[in-house]
Amino acid sequence: MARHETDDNIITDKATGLQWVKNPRLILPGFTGSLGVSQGFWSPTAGTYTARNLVMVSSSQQFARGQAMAEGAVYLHAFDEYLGGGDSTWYKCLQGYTPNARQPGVDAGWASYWAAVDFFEGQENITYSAGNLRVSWMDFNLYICISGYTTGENPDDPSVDTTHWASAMSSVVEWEEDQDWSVNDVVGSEFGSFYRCTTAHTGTYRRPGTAAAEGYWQVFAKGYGPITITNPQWNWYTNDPRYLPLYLYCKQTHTAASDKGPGNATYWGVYDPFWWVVCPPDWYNLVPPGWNAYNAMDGGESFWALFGHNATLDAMNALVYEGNDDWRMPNALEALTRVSFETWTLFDDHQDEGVVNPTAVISTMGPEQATQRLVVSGNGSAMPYYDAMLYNPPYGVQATFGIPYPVRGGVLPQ
Amino acid sequence: MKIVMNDSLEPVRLHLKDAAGKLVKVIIPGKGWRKVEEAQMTPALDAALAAGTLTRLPPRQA
Repeated sequence: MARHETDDNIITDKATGLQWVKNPRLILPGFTGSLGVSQGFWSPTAGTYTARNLVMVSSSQQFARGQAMAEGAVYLHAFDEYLGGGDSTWYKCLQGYTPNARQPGVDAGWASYWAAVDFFEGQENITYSAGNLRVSWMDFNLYICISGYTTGENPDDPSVDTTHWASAMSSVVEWEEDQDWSVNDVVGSEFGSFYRCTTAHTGTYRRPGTAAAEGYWQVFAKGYGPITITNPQWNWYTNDPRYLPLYLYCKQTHTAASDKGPGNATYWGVYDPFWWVVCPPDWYNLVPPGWNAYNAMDGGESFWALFGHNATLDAMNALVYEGNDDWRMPNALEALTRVSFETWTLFDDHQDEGVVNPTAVISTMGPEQATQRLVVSGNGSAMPYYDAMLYNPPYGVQATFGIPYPVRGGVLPQ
Repeated sequence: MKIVMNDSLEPVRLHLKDAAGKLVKVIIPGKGWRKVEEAQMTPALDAALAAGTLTRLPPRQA
């Protein structure tokens, strides 16, 4: 009995449920045939962009505090662990502007609008006037001087000296976006500091997704998140999904122009070859709407072939014909013989690890090892499966093979 | 309890440990201070203190 079954488009390994599709290159919505080539980062002066070719949108194009936003440009509203917000979604800027928010202690230029409140000096011969603000050493709360005086030796902390100081905590508010601020407003930060407004102003970021952003931002494409970063080291590598460039595919051949940039959906669509390979295993069905060339193959379940654009990958994934209309997946040793190590370097062989965790392997690579490499966790020829990944800085993991990812694609034998 | 002060105008971002011992990213605001539990002391924070990027406030005078 054949181990595999096929409808002439898909081969299913009945033992594992893994599926192989006949032509994994059919992955651009509206197109047939292979992908084009990358034309690098998009530029309005690049000349001709040809349909099916790819361009990248720089990872520097992120919504950022204090950064001017250009009309028509596409920005990544990156998830922001430091300050909250960010939905890992790409937005098109409908109306350019320069944000003027000056969150105290955080935004560039904030010190022109706010002054940090000092701790109580705790020294003699310091003269305080009514209205002076100080932070207590005892309880870290804010106090206001209610009666001017000059300190003597070993002065009492404001939390103790009720003759000269009173709590000012009732006047402290949280800093918020899109807010009018008046002189002497006092805000407390979540970090523990207090700031006094020295210059009246209105601050707003027009952060996408907030009311202030209405009319300024339009969702362009879902990004790579939300991403939960559990290992801070992840950020030190260029494969942080939040900083991968956004790939666009050209929908129709045209001459590059500023009004035909990445924000123009007539000419560009989102191409995300890394959608599943950079996600945890249970995210493998995160394929954007419209990318359903193979959606019907298993009733909408989660088997996708998205990596047919790379000749190395095609070679790695080619099935082995065993006769009698049956095929099998190549084992690790067979796969390795298909790789040109002039392009891909064998990085390591985790013979004993069985199932490899790509992120764990990456964590053992320093960013200084910035070269294309093949990471293999082989189980030897005794096992018909293998675990490997292609690691291609600066884009990180480009593909994985093996048990952890029930996503397969390949080229049928001719 | 320690108090670390960032005396520059730019915020300093560090990895510190949270109560569960997990590394988390924190921000020390520009011209600002932050209370740091002993458990949060990490090599990153020590390095910032050693480099003078951050300063540790002296204990309160008697």
